[in-house]
Amino acid sequence: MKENNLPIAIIGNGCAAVECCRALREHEYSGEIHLFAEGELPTYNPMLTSYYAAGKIPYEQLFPHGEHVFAQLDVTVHNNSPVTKLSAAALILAAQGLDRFAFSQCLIATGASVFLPRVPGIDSRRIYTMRTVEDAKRLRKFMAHPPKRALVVGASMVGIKVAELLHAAGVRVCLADMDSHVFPLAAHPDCAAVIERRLEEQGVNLRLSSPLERIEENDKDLLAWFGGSDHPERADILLMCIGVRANTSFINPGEIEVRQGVLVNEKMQTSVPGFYAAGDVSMGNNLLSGENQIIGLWANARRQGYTAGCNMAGSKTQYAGEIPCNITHFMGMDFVGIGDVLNYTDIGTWHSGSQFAYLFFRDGVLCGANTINMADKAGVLKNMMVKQLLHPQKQPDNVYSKPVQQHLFNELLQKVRGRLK
Amino acid sequence: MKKSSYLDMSRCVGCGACVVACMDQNDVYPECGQVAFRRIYQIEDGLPPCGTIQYVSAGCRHCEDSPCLISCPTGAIFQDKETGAILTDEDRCIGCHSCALACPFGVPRYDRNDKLNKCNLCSVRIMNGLLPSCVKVCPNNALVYESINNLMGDKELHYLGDLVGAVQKAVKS
Repeated sequence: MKENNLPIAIIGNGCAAVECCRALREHEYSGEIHLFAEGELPTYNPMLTSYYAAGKIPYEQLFPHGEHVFAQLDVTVHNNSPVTKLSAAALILAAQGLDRFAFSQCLIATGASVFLPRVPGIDSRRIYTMRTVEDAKRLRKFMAHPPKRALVVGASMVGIKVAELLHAAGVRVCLADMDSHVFPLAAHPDCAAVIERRLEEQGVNLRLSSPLERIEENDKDLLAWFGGSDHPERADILLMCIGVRANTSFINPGEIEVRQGVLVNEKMQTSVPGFYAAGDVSMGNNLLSGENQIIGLWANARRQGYTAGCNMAGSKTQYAGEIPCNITHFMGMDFVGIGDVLNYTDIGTWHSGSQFAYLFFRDGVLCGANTINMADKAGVLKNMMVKQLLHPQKQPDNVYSKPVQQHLFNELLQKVRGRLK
Repeated sequence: MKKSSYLDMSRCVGCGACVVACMDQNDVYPECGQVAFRRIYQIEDGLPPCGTIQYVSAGCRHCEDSPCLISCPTGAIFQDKETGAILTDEDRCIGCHSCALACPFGVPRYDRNDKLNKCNLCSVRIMNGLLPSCVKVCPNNALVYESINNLMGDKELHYLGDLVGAVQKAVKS
C-alpha cells in the first residue's frame, strides 16, 4: 500500500472518480483523498439526461450514486473548483479558488464535453445540447410548451434518443447527419437502412449526407443551411448532438501524453508515473484494434476508475480493455452495435419479421455485429467477441466453455452462415 | 463466498419443473406479458445414433462481479448484502436494455412496461431458511443451492472416489 503524507488528488467527479475512491478505500488506503469538481452537483450519468428531459425519470434519478457517496468514502470534495493547471513534474495543481495543492498521486477523470462545430450562427439561443444536468433541465423546461418543429443534428445514440423524446411530444422532427446513414460508426449501411425506414414510417424526416454550414436565427424560428442543398431546414429548436471531446485543457501535453484523450495503459497509468486517467477523458485499450481509443461507456469508465484506484493503493490490477459497443432502445426498437461493422471480409445476415442480425467476420474471425430487436442475443455476441479476442486459437463455434452461451451463439451463427457473402 | 444455485448438467433431464415452480413462486403470468425467469435449453450435438442431447435449466447466475450491475446506468441492479443475490429495483429501471448487452448468458428479459424481469434467487425464501423454489422442486437434484467452494470440494471428493475405485479395481485384477 502506497502512502505518504501528501493526499491523493482526484480531478473530476464522474463515475470513474467514484470507483477510484471506492477501490482506494477497499484496498485500505487510509490517507486523505481530495476531489476537485467543476460544479457542485453529485455524480450524474450523462446518459440519463435525455430520460430526464423526456420526463421519464425524476431529477434525483440523474444521480445513481446518491448525494453522499464521497462523504461515505471519506473524500474531501472541493466543489466549484475546476482544475486550471496541472504540473506533473512538481505534483502540484491549481484550481479555481486554490493556487497550489500538492499531492502524491493523481487521477484525471474530467470526462468529456459536448462538441459544437464552428459554423456561423452556432451561438443561437435556439440551440440546445444534451450532456449535462443543466442541458437536461433547459430542454425539459422548454418542452413544457413543445415546439412545432425541431431539428436534431447528429444521428447517433444521443441524437436518436433526443429525436425520440421530441417525437413522443408531438414535435415534427428532422434528423440530420453529415454521414450517409444513421449510426454512422455503429451501424452497417444495410442495418442503418432498416432503422431509417422505420424512423420515416413513424414520421421522422431524415436529412442525411447533409453537413451543417450555417444557422440563421430570427424572431420566430431558425433556418439551418446544409452543404449541397439550397433548401434550408426551418425549426423552432435545434439540438446539436454530434459528439463530445475529452476535457484535457488543463493538461500540459508536453508533460502527460494527450491525443484525443489521455493515453493510458492497462493499469490506467498515464505516460507520467503517479498520474492515472479513467473514464471518457482516457484512451484505454480497444481490444478489437489493439489501439488506444476513447470508449465512452458507463461500465468501461467504472472499471477503469476502479482499476486506477487499485493501482494507486498499491494493489497491482489490470483491465484488459473494452470493445466499442452500444445498445439503443428507441421508438419501439432495439439497436445493437458491437465491434467493427465497417471493415470486414464476410458478412452474414438474417432477418425474420422485425428482427435483424448482421454478423461481420474478418478473415474468419467475428469482428462486429448489428442486431435489431434481438437484445437477448446482444450480451452473448459481445462476450463471444471478447472471448475470441482473448483466446484467438479457438474457433467461433467453440469459444465458450458454457454450453448455453455456445448454444445461443451457434443458433445465430447457423442462421447467418448460409448467407455469408 | 455466498451460496447460489448451481446446475449439475449431467443430472438435468429438461423436465421444466423448475420453470413452473419459479413462475408459481414469483407470480409470473406470461399471458400478462411477464417473462419466465428460467428457461430450459435443449442442446443437440451431432445426429443419431452418435449424437447427444443435453438439457440445461438456466436462469440468472448472480455473478460475483456482475457485468449487468456495473453496466446499469441508474443503479437499478444491485447486490443484496444478505443473500448475495443480484436484484432489480423496478422503480429505477428505465428499460434501456444496457444489462442485455452486458450479460454473457442472455438472461435479461423485459416485460410489457420495459422493466427488467429476472431471477431474484428466491431471496425471501432464503431469508426464511428455505431453498429457492427451483432447487426445492428439482426431482433429480440437478439444481443445488450451495457455495461454490463446497461444491468444488464435493466434486473433488467424487473424483477422488472414482480414482481410488479405479486403482483398487486395477490392483484386484
